[in-house]
Amino acid sequence: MPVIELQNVTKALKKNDVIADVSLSVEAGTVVGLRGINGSGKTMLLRLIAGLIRPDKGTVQINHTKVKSGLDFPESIGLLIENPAFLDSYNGFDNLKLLASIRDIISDAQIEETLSDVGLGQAGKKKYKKYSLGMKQRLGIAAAVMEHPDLILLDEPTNALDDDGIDMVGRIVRREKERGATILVACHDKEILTQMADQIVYMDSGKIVRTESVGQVR
Amino acid sequence: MKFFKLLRFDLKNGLLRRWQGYLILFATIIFAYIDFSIRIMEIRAGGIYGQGEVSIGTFLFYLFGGMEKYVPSPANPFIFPALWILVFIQILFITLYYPFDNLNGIGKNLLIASGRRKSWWLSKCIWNISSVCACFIIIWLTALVCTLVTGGELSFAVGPLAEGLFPKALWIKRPMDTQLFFYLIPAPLLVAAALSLVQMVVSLVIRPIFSFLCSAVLLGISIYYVSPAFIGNYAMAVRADSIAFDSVDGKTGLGLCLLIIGVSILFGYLLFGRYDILGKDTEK
Repeated sequence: MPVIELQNVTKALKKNDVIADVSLSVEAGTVVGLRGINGSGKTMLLRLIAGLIRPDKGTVQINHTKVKSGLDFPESIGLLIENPAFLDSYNGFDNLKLLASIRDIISDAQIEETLSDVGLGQAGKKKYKKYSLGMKQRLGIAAAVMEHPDLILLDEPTNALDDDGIDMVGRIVRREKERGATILVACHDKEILTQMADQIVYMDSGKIVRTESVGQVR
Repeated sequence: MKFFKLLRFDLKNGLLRRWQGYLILFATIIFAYIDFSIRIMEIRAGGIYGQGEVSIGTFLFYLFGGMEKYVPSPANPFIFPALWILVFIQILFITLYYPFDNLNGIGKNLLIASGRRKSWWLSKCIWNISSVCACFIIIWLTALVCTLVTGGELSFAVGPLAEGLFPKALWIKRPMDTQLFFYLIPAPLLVAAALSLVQMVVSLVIRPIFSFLCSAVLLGISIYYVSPAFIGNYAMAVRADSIAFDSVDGKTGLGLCLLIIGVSILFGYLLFGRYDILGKDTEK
């Protein structure tokens, strides 16, 4: 059963179609990779699914509810988009706690566990402003997955990460998939995507140019 | 519940943690009081306008007096009411960037977690009005302390000294306490809140700095033209009706400010419902 359904979605910014007549269906519990060069529309597609931007034409449905008229944002979503941004004066743990306080569905212990999962166990007590780029990225990933949402959108999750960090992303994506989450990962690195995804969607100039299952890619 | 959590976050991070702006405003008011004291000494030394007592009202009249109607002529140079505009510009700057920064930072995640765009917008509206109120509380408290320290009276009577502070005004009669209370306390606050909310709505369409410039231009036009259409006029006590000729009606000002506040909240609410939340680096 599709969790995400986009039908003939078009989105223009400054009269340029950043998403052009895109239709996509993502089944529950699958990991879909989005691949394309910079400016191909990967991030815009994630923004549309997250409800951050509205389509000019077409519909975006999450769990059969139309984003825009039915709901502002998907109810259970974790998101890492662009560079993660947190409060400089808070430490990693407090930043996550602040985010978690809105939905209030996880405990402090679960936040600490997530920090540990992304390799920030000790650094959780360190001020965010003292974090390196890689640590900021890890905290962004932790924020996206800590509440174990049904839908996870990760935009270039391996940015600024070392090999160990890239392995960590793969481990977390596999774990969340096993739990039943539907995951979309935008990444320009084919090798990383083939390790994580069940299906890879190729984008160019705001359009989906082809879709391949990972078996085909390999 | 989620709305109140969002609001709590906004009040804590958008108001309490941004104390530097309020500190600068406090310093401005202290500087203004020193300047005011010098002006009062000069007026008293001149001996033209009588020897009335200084009150908190006199100082607020000096601060929010604005400018008498400007009649262009070679003999009448345009003397910009720098202090008046400085206070309003500071308040508008204090409320300028937080919503924008919030939307490009952790606020985006909070917005998604809250699930509702309207929660984010209404929370920002309450934060905005609260920030303006905080600015005025600082102004009033600083004025109160300065007045007490210098032995001034705690009343809104401005007396003959007001005429010395604004010698070009065409007075109908000497300003009285009750007539001035509205122009010294609620009117500047309402005008600042209305402008600040309009600025926040405009920031959804153009960059915040341009929105800020629009607000500054609107204040500038209000200085130049005595017109009920330009709300800056209602924040100038020297243009209070029944005190001076060339004035604006306080009741109209009250209605206009409340209307602008209401329309801004509603219009922003509708606009933000379809607003594209793009990153800082993505051009619209």
